[in-house]
Amino acid sequence: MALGPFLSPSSRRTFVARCLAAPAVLARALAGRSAPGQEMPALIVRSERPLDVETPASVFREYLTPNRLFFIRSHLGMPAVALRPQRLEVRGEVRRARSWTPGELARFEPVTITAVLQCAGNGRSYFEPNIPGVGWDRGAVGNAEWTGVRLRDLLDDCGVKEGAAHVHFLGSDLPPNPKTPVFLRSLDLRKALDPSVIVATKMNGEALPLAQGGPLRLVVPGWTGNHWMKWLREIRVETAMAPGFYMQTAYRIPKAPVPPGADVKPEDLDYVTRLNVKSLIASPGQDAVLTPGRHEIRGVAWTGPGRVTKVEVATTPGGPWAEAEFVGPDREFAWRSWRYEWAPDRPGAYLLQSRATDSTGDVQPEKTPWNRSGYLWNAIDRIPCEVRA
Amino acid sequence: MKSAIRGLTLAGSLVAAGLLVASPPGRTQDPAQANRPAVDDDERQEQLAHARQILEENCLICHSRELIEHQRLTPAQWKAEVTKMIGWGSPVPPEQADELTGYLAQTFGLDRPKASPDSIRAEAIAAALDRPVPVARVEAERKEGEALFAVHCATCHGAAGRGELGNNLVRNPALLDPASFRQIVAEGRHRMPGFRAVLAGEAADRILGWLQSLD
Repeated sequence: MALGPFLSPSSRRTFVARCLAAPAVLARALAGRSAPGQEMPALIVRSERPLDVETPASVFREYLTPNRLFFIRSHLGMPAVALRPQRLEVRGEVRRARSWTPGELARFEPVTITAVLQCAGNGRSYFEPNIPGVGWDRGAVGNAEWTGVRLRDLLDDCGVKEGAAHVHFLGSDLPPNPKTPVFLRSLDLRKALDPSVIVATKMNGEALPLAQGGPLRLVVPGWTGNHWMKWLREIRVETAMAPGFYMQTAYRIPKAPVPPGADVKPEDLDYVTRLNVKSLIASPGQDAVLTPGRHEIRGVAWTGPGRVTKVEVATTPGGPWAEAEFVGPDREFAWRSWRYEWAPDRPGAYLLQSRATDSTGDVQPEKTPWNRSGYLWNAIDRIPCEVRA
Repeated sequence: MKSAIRGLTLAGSLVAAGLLVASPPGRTQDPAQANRPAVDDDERQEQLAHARQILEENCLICHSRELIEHQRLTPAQWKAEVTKMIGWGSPVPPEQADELTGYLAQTFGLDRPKASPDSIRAEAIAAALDRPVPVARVEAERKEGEALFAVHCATCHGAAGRGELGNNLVRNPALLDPASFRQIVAEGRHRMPGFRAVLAGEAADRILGWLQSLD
């Protein structure tokens, strides 16, 4: 199908030139720079050690996010998995404790699921007042095909005992000292047995990269990234939830909206589980300069439970809103790509906005309710740009 | 007026002193500042440098600077973060915690311009992560390494290498680069001194061999 260029040639050159000239862009690569005119998006560094980098939104013009451009989040730093062959152990309230190498998991039925992975803290930088933590913008998210085996099949192989209620997960990454909490988390047994939950060995058809938790990670489609345990090493079936900071203190949000800064009692906090409805504009980019004429606004939209049913676009503050057209695949747990034909006839400042609605009736809000840790930001996306003759 | 400012400085109130130093040109300033002698500037610069050193020696052991420098928080939020980090093992001496907090609140407060993040190419990440699989060590060498570790390293890194003042070393990516490991042992970094005088390269290799065997 013929798609018009999202930027006219002259504004594309301006856009790229502005990116390359921005003082923040450093080539820390050992490899050579990309050739002039070849757009190789660089990842945005939120932390070098441990490595936290996010994807520029322009990459979301593609339905699948390439592995090498996928955001990376590390709480505790990457473990040296190359030191020894990795094994996955299942212990606890099971009849038969078992362990497998990634290769030995091939005896179980392979499953591929396309799913959005989003950090619970994506968009944290948009909350007001400022919230301490990794200051993600919009790019701690991506869509990929995850291949692996069902967690349910592994647990069935071990035989879950009566009375078991939770499944604990631990990765190979260790805290820098014994006072820093371990990244231990759990799913309740019912969720763990959901056929969509897989132990993944591949991402977009390739071996799961180290930076993405290779050789093994948990994939929990429709739920936030904190559940997708990287460098998965140990699964323990237990009667109680996982204790500790990263399960009981972190990843909690108020059950009902509270004013910023409010102290909320634990009994009034929910655990962060499902994603919420959200859309992002992939192009034009932030502060793009466009010529008058036809342009295509492109983006993606996803949700937790249910499906995205509608994406609306506006180009000036307050609307009017018009419906965008979906393109490409429609798969449960994945995002949908969308596009909107726009023909600004007048020069000036515009504010591109996208607003998704899902099948449960949820709509992206003007502003996500405050929560102490800055989770689940899903406000209407807003991209200023300029049309210049 | 001059003595009042000096008084604040002597009281260790870095927030107050820092505010005066960092006032950008053009803002209304305390008239005393215009007549301030050069020696007060030197003192404030020293105070800033001292506070910066506290940060570098106690915070950068576990993570790089962006996690700190990109925040824009209130003094109360900074105090809470420092308290949390000390709880998680940051070795900030108690008598220096206030000075550190004051510095952070002053340098990375809400009034500061938003931080400009760096970018990194995908190839750079791939190159950094592409490490060779290390060569297995023989048992005898590992035993020697264990003994050397107990004598020279355990005090800071913990008897089992899981960290104390120094970082956890078990499954640490530093173990994947023998040349770099040797260099760190020889030269030290952050709060770690260099062990060149007592641990030759061979000794560092044996310690590395033992650490690699831990899981």
